Amino acid sequence: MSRPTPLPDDATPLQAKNERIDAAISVLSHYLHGKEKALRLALICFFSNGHLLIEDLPGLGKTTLAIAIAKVLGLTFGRIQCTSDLLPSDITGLSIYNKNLSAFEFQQGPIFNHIVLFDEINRATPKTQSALLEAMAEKQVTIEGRTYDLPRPFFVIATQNPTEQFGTFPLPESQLDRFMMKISIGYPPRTAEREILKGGSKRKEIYSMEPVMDKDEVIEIQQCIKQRVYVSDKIIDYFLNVIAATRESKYLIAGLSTRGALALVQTAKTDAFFRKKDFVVPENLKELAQYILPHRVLFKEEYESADKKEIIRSILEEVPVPV
Amino acid sequence: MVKISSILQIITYLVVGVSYAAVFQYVETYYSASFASLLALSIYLNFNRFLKIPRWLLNSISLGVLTISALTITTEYLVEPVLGALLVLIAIKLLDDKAFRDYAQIFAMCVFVLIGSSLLSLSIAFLGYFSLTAVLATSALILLAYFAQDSEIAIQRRNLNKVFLQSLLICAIALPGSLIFFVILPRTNYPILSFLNREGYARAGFTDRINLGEIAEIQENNLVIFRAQMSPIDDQDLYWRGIVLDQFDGKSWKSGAVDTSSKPSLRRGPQVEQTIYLEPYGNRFLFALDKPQSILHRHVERAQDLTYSLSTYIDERVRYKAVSVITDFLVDQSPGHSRYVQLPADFSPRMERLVAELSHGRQGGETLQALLAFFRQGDFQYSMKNLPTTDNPLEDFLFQNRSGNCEFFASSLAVMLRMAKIPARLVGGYRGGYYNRAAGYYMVLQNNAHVWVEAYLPEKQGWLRIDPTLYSRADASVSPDHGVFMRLKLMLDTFNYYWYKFIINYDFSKQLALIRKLKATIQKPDVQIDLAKHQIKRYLLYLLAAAPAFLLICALYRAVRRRPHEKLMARFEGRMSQLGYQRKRSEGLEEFVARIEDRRVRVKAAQFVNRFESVYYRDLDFSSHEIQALQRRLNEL
Repeated sequence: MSRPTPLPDDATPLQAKNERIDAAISVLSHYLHGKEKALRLALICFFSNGHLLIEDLPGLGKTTLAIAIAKVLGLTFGRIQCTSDLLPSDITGLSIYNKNLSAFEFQQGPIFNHIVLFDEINRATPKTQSALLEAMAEKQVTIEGRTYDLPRPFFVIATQNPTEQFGTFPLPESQLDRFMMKISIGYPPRTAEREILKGGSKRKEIYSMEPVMDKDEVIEIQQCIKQRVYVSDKIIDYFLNVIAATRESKYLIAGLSTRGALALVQTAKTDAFFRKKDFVVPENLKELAQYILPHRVLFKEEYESADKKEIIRSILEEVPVPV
Repeated sequence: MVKISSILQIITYLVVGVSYAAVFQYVETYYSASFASLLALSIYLNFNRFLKIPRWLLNSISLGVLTISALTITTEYLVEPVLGALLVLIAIKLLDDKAFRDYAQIFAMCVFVLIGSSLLSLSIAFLGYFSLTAVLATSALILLAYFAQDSEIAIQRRNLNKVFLQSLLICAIALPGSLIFFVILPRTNYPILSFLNREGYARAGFTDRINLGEIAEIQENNLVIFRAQMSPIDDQDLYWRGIVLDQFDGKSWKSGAVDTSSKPSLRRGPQVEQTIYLEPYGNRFLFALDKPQSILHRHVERAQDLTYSLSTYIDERVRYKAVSVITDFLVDQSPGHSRYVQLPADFSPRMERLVAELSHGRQGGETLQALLAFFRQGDFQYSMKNLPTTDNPLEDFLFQNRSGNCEFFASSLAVMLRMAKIPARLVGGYRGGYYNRAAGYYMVLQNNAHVWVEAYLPEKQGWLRIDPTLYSRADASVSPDHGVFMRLKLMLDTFNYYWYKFIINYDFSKQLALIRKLKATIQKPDVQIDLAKHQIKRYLLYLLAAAPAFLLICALYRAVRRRPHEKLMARFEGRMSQLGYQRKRSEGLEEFVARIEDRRVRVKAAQFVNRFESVYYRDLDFSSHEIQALQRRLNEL
């Protein structure tokens, strides 16, 4: 039987894991004023084994968010500032001749970290972008005929600036699909900003933050979500209805891909887990759809300038939930 | 979720119960009693698992039962002890721990018992028992397959229903298949081994020698003796003639030598045709409405006193056609009625005195009237209890008890007639019957058994039917019992009747004829459609009237079929809309609850929703406990 049998000895570890996540969030909230929502979404994305794309103006705390997540989860962190002269080997690493050993020695690039931040990914050339996206999908890199596994868990946070168009290479739709979620942090609320202004940047403190969990525990939680959160057939049908609605929508040229649908299920499970439940409800999807759908579907030209999240919401309005 | 082991237990007890029901009337009481007590014990042990009966004890009990049954077996009494022993063995098996093998053994033994019962009787009930056992055992075997994997396994109620449906389907396919054999194979009219059990029938039914008080024994029997297919006639004409008893020895009546040479002639009267299905009862006489003019049967022999008998004992169901003339008078011009005035020497001077007193100065018919007047005014009571059993029971009846059943009335009248030198004889048969209007036949039971008198009137040269029992008070035999139970019995008997008529008594030539007829009909369809216009209109009206009723039934069915979660949700949404909150179809429950402004309502609604979701979206079944809890939350809203 595939259902989670709600036995008492099962429930305890699930709850315990949940508390660890709560602890992580509460620690992080201390450092990331006014970014609670973005933080939650980033963690959902992370625990769903997906990658995150943040589209925002500079200086709103993208890097801080990425470093904070890496630190609190006890993971390594790497950062790459993308420019148009960035080469794939700058990301993956390259072999350098070692005179002492009289052999080539592989020097790992910054991608060999658990959490990798790609700042302004749309400034990199398509060649470099492809190399990165391939690494994201396969979770491994091949250099000079040898394949190196990337560390697990592996989580990419890419950022891009929506306003700058000059000298950028926008990511093609097919590659956007590789990001599980696309979010924006937005301006912090006035009170939060006041705190920041009074206390100054907390970047330094973040670097010295004590981790709440370690790598193995993170993987365990990821596994737990995947296996233990139950998705009823009714919910699967609801998901299928939503997917069908995007494919038939009058606002869209192309609907959701199967990979996108899979992302919906995975994130819904994680969302349920974050809400301390071991089963998925329709709200889990409705909550997250606006971060998962817009960058994966193609809008008709006349709706390009409209609020895309609003359109997605209106599509969801048409699908009845299973009750 | 239900545990398979407990379902298996229930099914096993049901199957055992069915096989017991099939044979309980045949097995001896002590087998029944030990079976019942062991069964009760096994049910008790199911609840009290700490108690355990050691295996050696069970084995020795089984051995004992087998020995007892082996000792009672004779060539004439073979099947019943074996069935009894099997029953007890099943009950013992139920006491034991049950693994796959034990369940299979129990089912096999139950099937043996059922098959054994078919050797004793093959009524329609057997078909019922058989189908029931087939369905139950099939579902049990399916469940056993799971049980063999894991004895603690549980199954969802929905899947359990599926299992039952499947086994129903299997049986629905298999049973009609076996019906084919039923049509093709020539059937035995009656259970194969019935010739072994003649004594059983002989005990219940008319014989050619009847001791006083013996009819009462027959009358206690509630079984059907025969069914007569005919149109209904007046109740007072319902005398079924069977046997004539002419020799009296003081305590019993006997049928003397039968004269088959001369032919009695009948007075003219309304003729009634009957088709009679006579159950086996252990003697040779055939029954028909008084006075039977002719009975059509291959081996029938007709006597001068209008009794019909077969040369062999009737130990299988017999069907025959009879034509009767409804009259109470039988013309008989043959000489020599001396044997009808025979009495044992010095039989009851007291009665002699009474008869002399009554017949003083009277002749023939007048004497008869005087004797009848004695019965009419004598304040005699009809009763089946406390029958006289002394040395001269008739005296007892006439002068002291004044209460008895038809035998005493008829015997004393016949004896008194003989004392007055009027030839008289007893006629045994049945009186009354229950008409089944649905199928058009009289059902006559053993407790309709009756005896009446025929007196010879020399001036009319014939025998007159006289039923002195009619003069008694509280004559129970005349007013037939029309209570609810009798009506129910009659209704159920319809099935039996058709079963015998169309299944058991159907022979191969008739089957072939039926097939030929079917073939001819198919080849040359001869269906005429000439519905008059008003008829068509009427049918249309019926149809129009039926349509809303049909829709109503459909709607009701859907309402009844609504699943618990639908009912709960409907109630929840109804309550919320009363409070002014309408859930949109695309709105999730939590979402809906979150936008409720009233804090108290929101908290209560959230409690309901959380509990509901945790069952519904986990795909769990709504247990009755869960439904009650949810209902409580709804009530609090």
